[in-house]
Amino acid sequence: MEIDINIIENTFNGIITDDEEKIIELIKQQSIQKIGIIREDYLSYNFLTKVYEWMYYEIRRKRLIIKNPKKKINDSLKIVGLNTTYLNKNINKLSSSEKILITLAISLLSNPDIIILIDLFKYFDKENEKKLIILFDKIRDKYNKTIIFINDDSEIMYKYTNNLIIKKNNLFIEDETTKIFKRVDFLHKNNIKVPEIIELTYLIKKKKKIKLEYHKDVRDILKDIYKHI
Amino acid sequence: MTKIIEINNFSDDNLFENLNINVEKNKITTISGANSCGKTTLIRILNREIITDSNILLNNININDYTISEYISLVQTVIPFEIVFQENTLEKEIKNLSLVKGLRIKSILTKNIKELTIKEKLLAQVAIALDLKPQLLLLDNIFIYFNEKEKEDIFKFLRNYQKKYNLTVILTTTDLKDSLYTDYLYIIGNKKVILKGEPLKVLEKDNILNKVGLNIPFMADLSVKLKDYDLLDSIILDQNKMVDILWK
Repeated sequence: MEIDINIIENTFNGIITDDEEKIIELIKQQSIQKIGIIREDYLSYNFLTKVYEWMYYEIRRKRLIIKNPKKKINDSLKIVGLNTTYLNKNINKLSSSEKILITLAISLLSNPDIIILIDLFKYFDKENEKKLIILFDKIRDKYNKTIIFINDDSEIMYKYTNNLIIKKNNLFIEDETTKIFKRVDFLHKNNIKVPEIIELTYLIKKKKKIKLEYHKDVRDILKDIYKHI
Repeated sequence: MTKIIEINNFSDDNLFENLNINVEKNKITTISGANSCGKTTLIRILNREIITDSNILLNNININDYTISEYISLVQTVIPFEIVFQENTLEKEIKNLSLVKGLRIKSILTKNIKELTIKEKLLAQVAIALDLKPQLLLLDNIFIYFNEKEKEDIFKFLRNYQKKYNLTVILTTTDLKDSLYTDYLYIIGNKKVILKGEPLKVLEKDNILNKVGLNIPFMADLSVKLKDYDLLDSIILDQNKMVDILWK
């Protein structure tokens, strides 16, 4: 099946898929822009000790031609909200979320136009998840990058993305995220997990014939439930 | 209650201040807290990778008083990807396959270990750890790699193993949903334990959990808020049940 992946600029794109390699390949084929992929690469770099070694190693590995690498590294760290003291930190002593931020800084070294983030939210608590989204907002708006989240977690996709592609179980759909998740019966039929807040609203509508709105925030559904009891 | 691990007034320069954690034998205990609160460090301390001179007890004996081989036979740890496999297949790594029957590793037993996926490698790590029949299994944030169905299967397996071989499990996570599969929950914040108890009871303290920066599972969060409006008496995780109670 020929698939056109429509990535929308200046918005958060989400992709739920069971074959991320294939999707990334399609994006690479269909885009002329430079792509940066962020995933758990650091896991295989056991031979590196310090953060600066890791960053310089990546410059060599990706054969990046950078006039002033030191400045570029410092700038990239600054964008992701880390200071240069991190360069001398031991990689093994960093928390998972710090490692992800370093990975993001490394990806910025090559000035990608499109940043693909694979399954990264799982490392972050609520506060850091929010900070991460603020950071991506900044990277998208200030540095004009297109952001794509590839993630299997419907909750995260519903919360943070505007445009969604589902390529899973022989299904391919793309639309506004909210519109897709409101198609509960269709998603059930195709074994796609529906966000819990949508699932509950759907159940209330179906079981009790109550016209609840679909919400994103627990406080909003709470008000709506209260109104209808 | 019989304690297997006792951490009393444990302090270290940066991460902990008078930390108190007592883990009951043959239970599954969750330790949670925001990013960088010291969960992995605590696992490394209990694994004796980080040596402290504090009074941390395993079966009433200071963990430093065990020989290395004694300690390894009692405590096994799974920290994602921190393992050096000795053999090239899992089949060769595990001596007693019947111990880990039910862990859904059958299909990967003969696969080259280098070719295993992240999830498969983690399951392999758990299987190798349990092959030694430890009394205590430490799992550092492994569940982020699994979906709900896979988590359910792993916990089901752990419960069965526990019944047969008296296993205690301590797991760390930032996802409080994981704690719902376990018996007891500790929340670390501001360098110490700020909440502890049965998971559902702890989840009722939404203000504290929000302050620490942890996500409360949706149904628990909604239940607590509905409770504040006197619409529910307790946390209800089942959506059908909640709808039926709300609209009797």
